[in-house]
Amino acid sequence: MAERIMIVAALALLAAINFGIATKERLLADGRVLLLELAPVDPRSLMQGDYMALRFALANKVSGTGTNQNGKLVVTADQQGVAVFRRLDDGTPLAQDELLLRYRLRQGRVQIASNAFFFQEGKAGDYAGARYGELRVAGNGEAILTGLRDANLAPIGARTD
Amino acid sequence: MKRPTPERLWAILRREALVQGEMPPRPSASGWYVRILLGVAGWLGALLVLGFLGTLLHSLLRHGSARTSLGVLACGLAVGLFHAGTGSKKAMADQFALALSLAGQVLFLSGVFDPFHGGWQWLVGALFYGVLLALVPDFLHRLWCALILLVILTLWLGNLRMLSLLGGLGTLASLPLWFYSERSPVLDPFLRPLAYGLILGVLGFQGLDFFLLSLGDPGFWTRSLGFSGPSPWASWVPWLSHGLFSLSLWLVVGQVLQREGIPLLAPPGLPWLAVSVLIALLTFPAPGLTLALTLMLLGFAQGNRVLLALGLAAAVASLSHFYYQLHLNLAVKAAVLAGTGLVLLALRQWLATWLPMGKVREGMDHG
Amino acid sequence: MSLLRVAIIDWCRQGRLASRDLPRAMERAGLYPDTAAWRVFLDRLLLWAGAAFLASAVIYFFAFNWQEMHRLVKLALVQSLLIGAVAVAWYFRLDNERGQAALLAATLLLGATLALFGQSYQTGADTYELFLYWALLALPWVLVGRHPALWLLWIGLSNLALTLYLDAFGGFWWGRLSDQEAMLALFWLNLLALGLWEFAAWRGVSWLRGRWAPRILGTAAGGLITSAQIWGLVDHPLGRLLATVPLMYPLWVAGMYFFYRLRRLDLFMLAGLSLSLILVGTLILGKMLAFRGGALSFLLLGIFVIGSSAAAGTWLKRLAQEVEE
Repeated sequence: MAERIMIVAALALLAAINFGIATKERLLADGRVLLLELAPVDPRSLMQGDYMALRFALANKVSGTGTNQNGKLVVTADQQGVAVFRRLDDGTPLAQDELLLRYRLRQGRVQIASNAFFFQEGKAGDYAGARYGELRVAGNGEAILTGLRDANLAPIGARTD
Repeated sequence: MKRPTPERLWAILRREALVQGEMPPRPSASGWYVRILLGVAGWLGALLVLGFLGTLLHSLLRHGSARTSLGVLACGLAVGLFHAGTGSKKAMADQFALALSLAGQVLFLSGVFDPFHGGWQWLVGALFYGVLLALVPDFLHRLWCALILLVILTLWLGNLRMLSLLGGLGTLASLPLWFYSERSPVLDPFLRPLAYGLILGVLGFQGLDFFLLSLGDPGFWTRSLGFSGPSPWASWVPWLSHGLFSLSLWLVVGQVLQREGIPLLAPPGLPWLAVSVLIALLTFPAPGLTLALTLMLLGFAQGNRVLLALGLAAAVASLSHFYYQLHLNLAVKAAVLAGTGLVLLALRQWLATWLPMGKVREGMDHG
Repeated sequence: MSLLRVAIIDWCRQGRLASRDLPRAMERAGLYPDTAAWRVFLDRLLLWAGAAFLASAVIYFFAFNWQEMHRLVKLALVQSLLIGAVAVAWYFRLDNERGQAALLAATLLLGATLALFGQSYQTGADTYELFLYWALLALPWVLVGRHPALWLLWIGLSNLALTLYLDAFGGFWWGRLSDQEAMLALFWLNLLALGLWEFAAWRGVSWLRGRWAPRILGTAAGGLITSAQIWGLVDHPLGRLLATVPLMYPLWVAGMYFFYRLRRLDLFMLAGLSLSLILVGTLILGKMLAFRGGALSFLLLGIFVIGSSAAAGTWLKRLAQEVEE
């Protein structure tokens, strides 16, 4: 009996995890590439290997009203794909070239996508010259950080797709 | 581990003609946690006593020599109190004496080490604590003195730049204390707190070492104490240290085998010794695991749950520290762990095949 | 330390037991393990250590964050290992240590999988989410596994999740929590766990008998509420004593005394309770005397601490006579 519950639970959680994986993969495949300028800051995460703390310049555009909120920015991408701030999303329909970008507000700190970039242990030196973060953005503003780019917008480090 | 009551034990022993007659009244014993309670409160009391003396004798205490003498006086009074307390007043007297002694120690040390030279100051400190250790019959106080003595020796040896060896030496030194205290009821009240003090000191020192190492700086100790330059011994120290810990492990294994009546260097005992050598080799990259295993085996062998728990905690701490150590690649570490894990499971399988539970019980019924 | 050991040493010293018979007496007392006990101990040690080492190896491996391996390959790999562990647990059944050790490994691998997921798709999820999902997904296993180690791991995860949540959000939906109130939130979590644990043990759930686990929970809860109370006392003037941690501390004290003195004697909990009372009492007394200042207040406080700790020690020793450890 107990073993059967264990198996059922295992199947359920594997299903949930793989559903999550599928969703994220779709985002990576179909999402729009957007580059965000960095205002960077680096230690060892619990259980997740080496990472680099990040802050995006766009975050400064969001003022800290209210303490904890999730919201959306409206941006447009320039020729090279770098994001330019337009306004805070207030529900008005988007223009042709406008994109939504989700942000999180945590006790006055603004977070867009990830506030840390994880990389292979020991490769920290490669990322010292990072100036832009590369994101894949879905239609609803959900974003995944996929890599870092240097001042010339060239990708740093090995690609894992 | 279901244990009998003292009464039932007496009955069992009487049946085996090891004792005769009526059982003497139950002695009073308190768990280790009561000792911690008394220790923490004793420290709090000591701080308050220091505050009292500090405000009262403010100007006098500015002189180092005044502090030293006052410290000796306070400790002397404390020694007297420890011996004087009787009957119902004993707990009160002991606790007051503990606080007084701790306060006196602080005063004494602050006086002796005031312009810090090192050298003879360490010797004076060590002698002071040695005397206290001998004179005061209280368990908690002895444990504390042993601990501080180890710290003094550690800092002293820091001068000789062989700091990391203290862990291994301390553990080795405690082993005869553990083994012998079981055999000599007379020396037991002396040896036992000493052994605990050494082990707690070693664990504390290892923990501190871990914490500092995790900040990626093995030279921290020598630099912070003002000793400059890398030591010529530096490359040997990790090997020596691990060797000392491994030696402790093997001694404990040997002791257990001996108690079980298994000959050490002949076939029945040899595989066990070989296994312990193997384990010692495997745990070299992860310092602290050898110590943890030694403590667990020793604790189990003596029915000492405190040691067993300390060993377990040390194992968990060592594994977490292993993660943060920077001298090895995480991938290599993963391989080491996987290899060790497989070896452990294989050992278990081997044990199940060659010494199954049934055979063990059979052997016991006949033997 | 233990009563039996002290008794045996005592008997030797009084001459009632010959020194050379000391080891035999220790054996009969169950202090020295016999061969069978060794066999069981070694078996258990090798099993759990082996399982823990293997699971840790996997965690370390993925923490390395290989860039040469595609993320989908890594995710597939860790999930296969997870499935493997579950399969082993299924094979050995969950009513024995081998199956339970495999389930523990599977639970740790679940954490590794979630961590790898977070690492592969960097959406910037708050850290607490890892532990929250880990705890939620592992709950059925922990319920079914019936092993105190699994439960303690789970409670540890819940504590981490709550701490990180409060760290990120600074409070719950009704507003910001002070540090003190955050400690109280954790206190409630652990107290609840302790209560449920003791209740289940009382109802006779056999595998919950060991006292070490509730003691760990009790220490966590006690430590948290004592710290919260001390924090509150330090921060606020004494006049506002009733405003800081109103009623909770005395209620907790009363509850602990009632349960662990009268209902089910547990000296460890009572010792912790005494320590907490001494610390808080000293602080309250200290605040009251702070106006007078000077040597006298130190003296009075010192007398209080020494007197109360000596009394607590005597009381606990006397209680120890009534129960065997």
